[in-house]
Amino acid sequence: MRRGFSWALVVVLATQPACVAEIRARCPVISEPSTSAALPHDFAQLDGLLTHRALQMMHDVDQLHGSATTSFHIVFARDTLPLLCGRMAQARELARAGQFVAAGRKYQALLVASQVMELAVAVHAVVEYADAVREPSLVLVQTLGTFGNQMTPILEAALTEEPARIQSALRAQPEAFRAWAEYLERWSTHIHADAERMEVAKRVWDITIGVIAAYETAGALAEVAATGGPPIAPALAAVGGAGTVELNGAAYVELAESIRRLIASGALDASVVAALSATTAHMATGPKVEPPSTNEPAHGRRLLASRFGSTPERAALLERVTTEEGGLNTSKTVAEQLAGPRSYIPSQSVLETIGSGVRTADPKGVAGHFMYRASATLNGSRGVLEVLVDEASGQIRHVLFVSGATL
Amino acid sequence: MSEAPSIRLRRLISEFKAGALETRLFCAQFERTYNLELDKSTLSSAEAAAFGPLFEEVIWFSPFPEERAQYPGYRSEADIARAAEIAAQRLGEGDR
Repeated sequence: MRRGFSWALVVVLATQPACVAEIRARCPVISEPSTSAALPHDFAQLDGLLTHRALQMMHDVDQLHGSATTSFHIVFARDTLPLLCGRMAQARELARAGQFVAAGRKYQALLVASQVMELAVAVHAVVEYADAVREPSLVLVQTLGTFGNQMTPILEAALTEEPARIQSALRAQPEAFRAWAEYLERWSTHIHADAERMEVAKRVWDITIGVIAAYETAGALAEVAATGGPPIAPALAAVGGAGTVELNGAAYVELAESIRRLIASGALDASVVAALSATTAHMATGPKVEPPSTNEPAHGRRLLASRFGSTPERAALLERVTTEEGGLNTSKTVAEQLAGPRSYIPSQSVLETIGSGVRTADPKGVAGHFMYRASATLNGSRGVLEVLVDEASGQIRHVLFVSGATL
Repeated sequence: MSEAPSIRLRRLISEFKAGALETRLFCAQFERTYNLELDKSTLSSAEAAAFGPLFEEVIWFSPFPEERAQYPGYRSEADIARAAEIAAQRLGEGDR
């Protein structure tokens, strides 16, 4: 299952978005409001935050339909969300049974895991849009690669539910959550993302800001507790910087208070809360996550080629059909079509089709040209994506989705 | 009430032949309507014989002479005009 989680974070691109519309993320445990009410108050606060996150993620993932996010959508719906929801159900049972330490371990692990997944959803929403507006494929792949490299260890640690491992993984990525939230905001602005994507990116930002306030307060207390300092009184006045109160200040104040009490009771691990707080902390030096660099074109092209190429020959061809900037090497005819009437075809799908599609001689019989074809769907309509390549030059000379066609 | 795709295809051909539609725009609109909006099972045999081959031409239109020279599979303005004329004839024959 851990492998499934890692895959959900890192492997997100696929040519065939078939059946995505039929896959809906479900979480039965959050449709049980009456049982939620029976939880001890402080656990109910954590449960409420997790429920809110799960509902938001379900909604946002249902909006992902592009080929760039197909795999993520499927894995999230089939594996990730059911696993998180199953653990949430276990945490509730433990809390109701009075096993507060065991419940606390599960809840704190879920807090970390859900925060990673929430960011992952936001990253994919922005990536999907970026792909549609033809941001270089290299940027998308590197962004997802960086995100996966940073967040997978945290997610894997959270799934072990071992406080020491979680703390260690979080401490290894200081400021990671805040940095990614800021990066998403900058990137969304840069690509002029549509209102819907901005909303998803901003939503995770808003939620993060609110939770940051709670963690910062509880985290400050946790630092003291973790270092063996004297117990201190709640400092709730510190919660609710300007950005916090605008969202739902009262709820976050209450959440911080619950976290503080759970730390004091030993249900939550002070070191984990302190480490989580540190990942969201703002530093004067600014975020550590920068837009993926494309300064190493040869490396970038190899990265794309290895990502999409199913054989060494296909990988070698992919290196020729991509530009140094990570874009597609197309004729002017194709470039104009992809910027206009065929703009619905993502670059990722073109690369995947060349990387693993069926290869035949050019139907028009022009020497040196080969047609690559792969199954695809567009708005529920099945068909074939065809890509014609002049293999000597690596120039793409035709890209078309043919509705109703079969391989 | 919106125009049925098959009616729109006929209108596009007619407007293109009359010079009211520039080749690039005609190709884009014909391609989109035929490929993404039309239920091909609703076509008459004359319409199928007219629209299908024309679609196979418009999708290869290139306004760039140097690229048509590099790849002979691309189609020119004159190629598209000829294909539209043939399609119109087939539609006319079917309507008689």
